[in-house]
Formats: sequence, C-alpha cells, structure tokens
Amino acid sequence: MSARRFAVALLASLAVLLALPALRSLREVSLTGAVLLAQLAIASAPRSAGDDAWRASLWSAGALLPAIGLAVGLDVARGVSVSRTLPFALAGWLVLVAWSFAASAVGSSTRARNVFAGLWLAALPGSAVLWAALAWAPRTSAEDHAPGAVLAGVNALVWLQRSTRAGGLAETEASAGAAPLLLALLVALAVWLVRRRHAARSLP
Amino acid sequence: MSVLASALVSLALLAQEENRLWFVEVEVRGPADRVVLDCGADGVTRAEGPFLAGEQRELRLPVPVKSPLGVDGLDALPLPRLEVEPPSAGDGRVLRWSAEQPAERVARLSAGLQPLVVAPASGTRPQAGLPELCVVALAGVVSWKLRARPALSLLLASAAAILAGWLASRRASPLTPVAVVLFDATRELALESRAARDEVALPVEGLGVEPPTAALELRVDASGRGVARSAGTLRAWRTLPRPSLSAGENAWRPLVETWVRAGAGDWDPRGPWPVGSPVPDVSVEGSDPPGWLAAVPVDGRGALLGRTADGEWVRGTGFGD
Repeated sequence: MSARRFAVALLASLAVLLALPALRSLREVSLTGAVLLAQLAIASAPRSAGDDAWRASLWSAGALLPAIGLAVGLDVARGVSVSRTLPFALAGWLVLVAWSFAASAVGSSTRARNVFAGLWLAALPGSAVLWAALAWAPRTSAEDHAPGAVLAGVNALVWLQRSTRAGGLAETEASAGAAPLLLALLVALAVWLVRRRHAARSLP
Repeated sequence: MSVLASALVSLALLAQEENRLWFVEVEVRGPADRVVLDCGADGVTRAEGPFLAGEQRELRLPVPVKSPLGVDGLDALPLPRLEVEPPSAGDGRVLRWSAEQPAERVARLSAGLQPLVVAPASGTRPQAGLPELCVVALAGVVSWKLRARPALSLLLASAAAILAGWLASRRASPLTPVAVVLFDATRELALESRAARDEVALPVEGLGVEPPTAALELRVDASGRGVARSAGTLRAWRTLPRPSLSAGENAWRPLVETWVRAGAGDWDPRGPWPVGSPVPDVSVEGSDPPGWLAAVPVDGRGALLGRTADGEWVRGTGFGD
C-alpha cells in the first residue's frame, strides 16, 4: 500500500469515527462496520504496482488495526456486546487482509493487474451496485428472498454495509463473512496464478 | 385472544421499550459462593451467597431476558442456564418462571397513563477522546516507519488496537439521572420512570435498556437487592403511591415550577408551589414546559406539570377536576 493510500485509509477511518457519532441521523450506525467498509473500499482498489504481496498486505491491514480497535471500543461503549463485536471485527479484518493481498499480488504483471481489476469490479463495486439496483426493482412475485440475495451473501461491501445499520451489528453474524472471505481468497489465488504464468512466459 | 391482548398491552405500554426484568424461581443447594443465571446474549444474573453446606433454598431472582410477547411469552422462552460458583461445590436448578411478574403491574398501570413518557436520556453517544485518537495516529506513524518489518508492525499495531479499544470502551456520554412521576387523579398508584447511565439500583419493577441489544448484568443478593449494569442507558420503572397533589393542597413535595392546564386550554405557568398550600391561582411569567412532557391529550380533563428542586418531574392528569 502506498503512503498516499495508507494515509487516505487512515484519515477516512478517523473521519468515520469522529463524524458519525456527531451526526444526529447517523449516530446509531455501527462504527466497526463503517470503519471496515471505508478501509476495504480504499485498500482493495486496484493499484498500479505491487510490492511483495504478503508483506505488503500484512503491513497495510495491520497498520489499520488501531482504528478498527477504536471503533470496536466505541461500539462496546454504546452497548453492543463484546462477544458480537470482536468476532465481527476479526472476520472483517481477515476480509481486508485477503483483498489487500489480492491487490498486492498483481506485482508488475500487466495481465495480472487487468485480471484483478476485472474481478475486483465484479466482486465488489459492480455486484454491490447490482444488488442495490435489484433491491429497488419492483417485485413481481411473492418469493421469500429478494432478488440478488446471492450477491448480497458474497459481497464484502454489502455484508459490511448491513452491519452498519442501527442494531445491525447485533444481527449480523460473523460467520456470514465466510463467503466474502472465500471470494477474496479465490480472487487472490486467480491473480497470483495469472502473475506466475505471466512471469514464466517472460523468462528468456 | 387474551394472550394476544396481554402481549399487545405489554408491547405497547412499557414505554416503547422492551422490559428486561423477569423473575424466575430457582433452587440452590450449598455450599456455593454465588449463583449465576446465564441468559446468553441478553446478559447474566449473579446472585451472591454464601449458600452454606447442607443448605437448600428456593429463591426468586430477576433475569435480564428479552420477552417480545411480554409475560405471556415467557413460557415459550428457554429457562436461563444456572451455574453455581465454585462449580465443584453445590448445585441448583431453575424451577420455573415466577407466577408474579412486577412488569405486568407496570404495564397495566401505564395503560391508564397515556401518553407514556420516559425519563429523557442524553442525545449524545460515546465519542472518541483525544487519548485514543492519539494512540491511533501514533500507531499509524510508527507502522509507516516499520513498513519494512511487517511482523513487528503488526505486533505493535495489535497492541495499539487493544489499547485504543480499551480506552474507547470506557467512554460514556454524560447523562444526568432524570426521573418522571406520572399519575392520574383517579388511580391509587403512580408510575415512576428513572433514566441512568451504567447502573441502577434494584429492586425495580421494570427495566429497559437503550440500545435494546445491549447486554445487562444483574448483581443481586438473595433478597433481590443489588444493581443492574449495562453499557447502555438504563430506564427503571416502579409503581408508587399517587403523589398527594390536589388543587386544594400540596401534601407531597415542594415544586419549584408548576404548570396547570384546565380542560382544552394551554399550559399556564403558576410558579413555585410550596408544601401545605393550594396550587397558585395566578399566572406568572415563565417558560413553557418541556415538550417531551407537555404532550397530554386534550380530553377535557385538567392536567398538572411540576418540577422539584431535585430535578424530578411530575405529570398528573385529572388534576383539579
């Protein structure tokens, strides 16, 4: 993670922590979910060049931990139980590590970068927008599950957004983060494989 | 049908807040230092002993469970899990939900005191303070300096996260305890609602918590006296004899501010109302009563609002009729 991106992620986290409790309409928002949401949106975005993937992802996700810890503490002070908040924060942090790894795994391979950009678009903002659009679409049948429920289940942004609603942290299961985590790991694996193949072909 | 009606009354009347104080009967065989009633995510009750060796007692203890359908929904709930401490000593079991649930009395009384108002709580939420913000900022700088050594950076960041979280979890927004006494001139009992941060003294007859998902810890002795603790805002309810306030005499407590409304009229400020005297009959220059308390239905009945020197509020309907 570049200095600029790390600074942006840290400042966004602090802005969330300071601004949301002060806004009357947003003061019930779960801060843990909101901070993770901001960090994931910034840390997972495609980048131009990667460093050593594991070291970079471990460092970047680790460096953002204090802000997550602060958000967890504030949620606990507001009355959400520790047994709810901590597993959720841990699951969210693992998703952050996985996406950060996937973003770093592109290395200097242009093809890997393109593959990651496509998968990132589909797995995070694209499917989140599609889920939101489907949620707003008029329903023509009385089926139990809203259209796009599958998208909601695997999209990390949607999972975190659900937790940010008032009382959402108490209703959101940490285990629901398993599918987004698995998807992030699959994306990381795909990117890593493309990068390796590209590197092998580039050898003289 | 009666179950549904009772449940609706319970839901609607306990100040828009779910009651979190229900009673169970337990049997304890000593020796044990204390009894723990585990209610899962809802919270826990700790009843302090000691319970002596050979002693066998039946106790009636409060538990902080949620019962969305009120008293009639209790039978459908699993009984709390009982453990004795130390575990190798005595034993015990939860026998049943108590037949008498004080929250039911609160709900019935509140039916005649509409609109039910609750003691106001602070509008602010705990916010990050300077120490924990400094921890986060400092950890960010140190992490950046240590980016070549991610393992060490992760270790320090984890420690900083724990420290920041611990500092933040101790934050509480300021809240001055406020109490409101609601009464109707035609009823013998009044209802008191009291708001407090962190803990309230027990026994009370009803207990709500904001946010509703907050866990509660009840620490009581064998007689049910103790405290209820939560990281949220607690609201305690209890019934008490109707304040002796009539237009002819204040036989209750001195009021530093009084407002009177006759029938469909507006609130009329009457100033202080000392004990032993009739309600002042001359209007004075004064401020309007607080909006959260002044919303009493205009049904042709007289009404009274007052504030004591301690900051406690009183609202009476049917006053002066």
